[in-house]
Amino acid sequence: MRKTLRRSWERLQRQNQERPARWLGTALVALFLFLVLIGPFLPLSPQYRSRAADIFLLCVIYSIIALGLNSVTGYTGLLDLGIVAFASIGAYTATILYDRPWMQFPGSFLVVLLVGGLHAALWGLLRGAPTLRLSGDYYAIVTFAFAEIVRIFIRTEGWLTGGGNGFKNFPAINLFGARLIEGEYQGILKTSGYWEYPHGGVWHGGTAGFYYLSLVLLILTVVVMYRLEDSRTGRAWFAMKADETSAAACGINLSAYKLYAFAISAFFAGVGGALLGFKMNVVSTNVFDFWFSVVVLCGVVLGGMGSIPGVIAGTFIVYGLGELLREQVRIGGIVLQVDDRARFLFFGILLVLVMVFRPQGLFPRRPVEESKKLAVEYDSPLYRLGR
Amino acid sequence: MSLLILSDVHAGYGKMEVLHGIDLYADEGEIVTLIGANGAGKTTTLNAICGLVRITEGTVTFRGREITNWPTKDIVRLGMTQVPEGRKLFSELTVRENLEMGAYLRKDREGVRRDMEYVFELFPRLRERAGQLAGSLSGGEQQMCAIARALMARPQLLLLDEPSLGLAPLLVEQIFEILQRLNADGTTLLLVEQNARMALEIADRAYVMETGRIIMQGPAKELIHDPRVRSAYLGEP
Repeated sequence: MRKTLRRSWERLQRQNQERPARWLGTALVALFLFLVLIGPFLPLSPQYRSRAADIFLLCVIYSIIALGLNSVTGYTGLLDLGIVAFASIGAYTATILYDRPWMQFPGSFLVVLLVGGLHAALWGLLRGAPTLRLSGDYYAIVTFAFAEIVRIFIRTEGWLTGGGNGFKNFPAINLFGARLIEGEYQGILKTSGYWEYPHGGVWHGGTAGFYYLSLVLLILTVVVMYRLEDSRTGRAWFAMKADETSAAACGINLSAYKLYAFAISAFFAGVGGALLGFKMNVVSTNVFDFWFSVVVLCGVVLGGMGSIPGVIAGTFIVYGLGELLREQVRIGGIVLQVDDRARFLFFGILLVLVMVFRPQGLFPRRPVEESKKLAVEYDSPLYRLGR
Repeated sequence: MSLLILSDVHAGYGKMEVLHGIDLYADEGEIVTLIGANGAGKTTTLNAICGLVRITEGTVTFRGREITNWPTKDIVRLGMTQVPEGRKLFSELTVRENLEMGAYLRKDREGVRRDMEYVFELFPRLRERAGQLAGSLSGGEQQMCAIARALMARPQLLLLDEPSLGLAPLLVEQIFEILQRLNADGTTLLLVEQNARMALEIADRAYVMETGRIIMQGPAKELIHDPRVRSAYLGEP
């Protein structure tokens, strides 16, 4: 970790020496990180502050899911259209468990998150094992089909999952004395949380406690992903993505590493899904539907597949924009509002623009431009003739 | 005993059999070449040897052990590597990382570092490009990188699939010189080529394949003068 940090700092300095304009980029990144850090306490009027906190929380949670998706789609290059399956497995597992009377002990919330993630990972393996030889469109179809199977299972097995109505009003989340979230779902969502000081007094922090817990989990996810990327495993994934024959010729066990990627992906999607369920205080197939997968994938592609900062940025853009588009805008006497279903139109336009002008995503994993410039020099007419 | 022996190898894709009984061997320190037209089964032969295509009948023996249908990773561990057709570099990794991938199964850091020096010496251009993404290399550089990557596994036997594909004549000559040097340094080569003239010039022995069978074999110096080979593969009357 320290090595990675030092290396990226050195790279940043080098780049800044070469192109002073990059300080602007660095400043923007710093501003973004600062905003994320103070997410629930933005200096806005109370109504807007809680709305902003809500949007930030949503973006943070979805970033965890998107990073999970990224470890299959970004690292091994397999298109996954069914990440929702794992998010919903994680969400249902965690919330159903958390409702049980024997699950009420300090720290039990972390336990159910973990179990939700592990359960999702198990299904990642079970889905992955028979599909190891599939690639491209065929793999995408399987992932889509599996997500539908999970959705239909949830809808029909009402005794366990609450069926089509979903599952709501979970016990308040207690984490070692802090009440992170408690809420009731009555058409609109109300959430709040508080902290009882050991020596008396109560601090009402809204959802801030839950926000910072989610943020810590996101940071953990990012650390794990960076370590994976830079490990033998990550290299094996990138090798398989480029070419399976060569990867095998290097002695990489293709099946094992693919399964590993599936499990990792499903685990983080499961944890993220569980957080999302608790955040919304309801889990239902209305939330965990096909569009869930599409929008998460949209964020990954937009930001840059395989790039950790890119995936996070893409997710913040997609969900931030998606939530902002819900807002009413009043200009004079006219109220402007985007129809809920029409929001997807904006994602579509955004994606088309990115595909045309920056196909590798907004923040690709490695800047290709610089090395491309060098390659052109050696692309002599002689070589082209030979080809 | 020969380093590599194929006896009566049948293999194919699904129900379609492509190889109808291949017999061939390579002794230690040799350059053996396999020439033939498109679709003769040369690439399939290489893939069958290193476990990428399923063998339905017959055996492959390497270093005295039968390795028929072993998983590729175990075959690589035993000392055989393939340079696949069309380079197939890991385009999102840098040149240096590609080379490191070649040494994926090795545990001896010191040896890997020495071998990295060795391949940089063979291909000085790669040293200049070490930090660059492999996808941004030119065709010739990519072929060099592919060969270098395979060498990093320190194979006893190197299978090369069309190393001259798509390269300018000057570069082809350069690559073949390096192959000869590798061979002199002790690596046995099994070379699949369409550029029959170049292959026959550097090889010790040669096999000619047609529609999944070996139709001719012998010392390369003899085959190069064989009228049938000359008319079919060397483009001479």
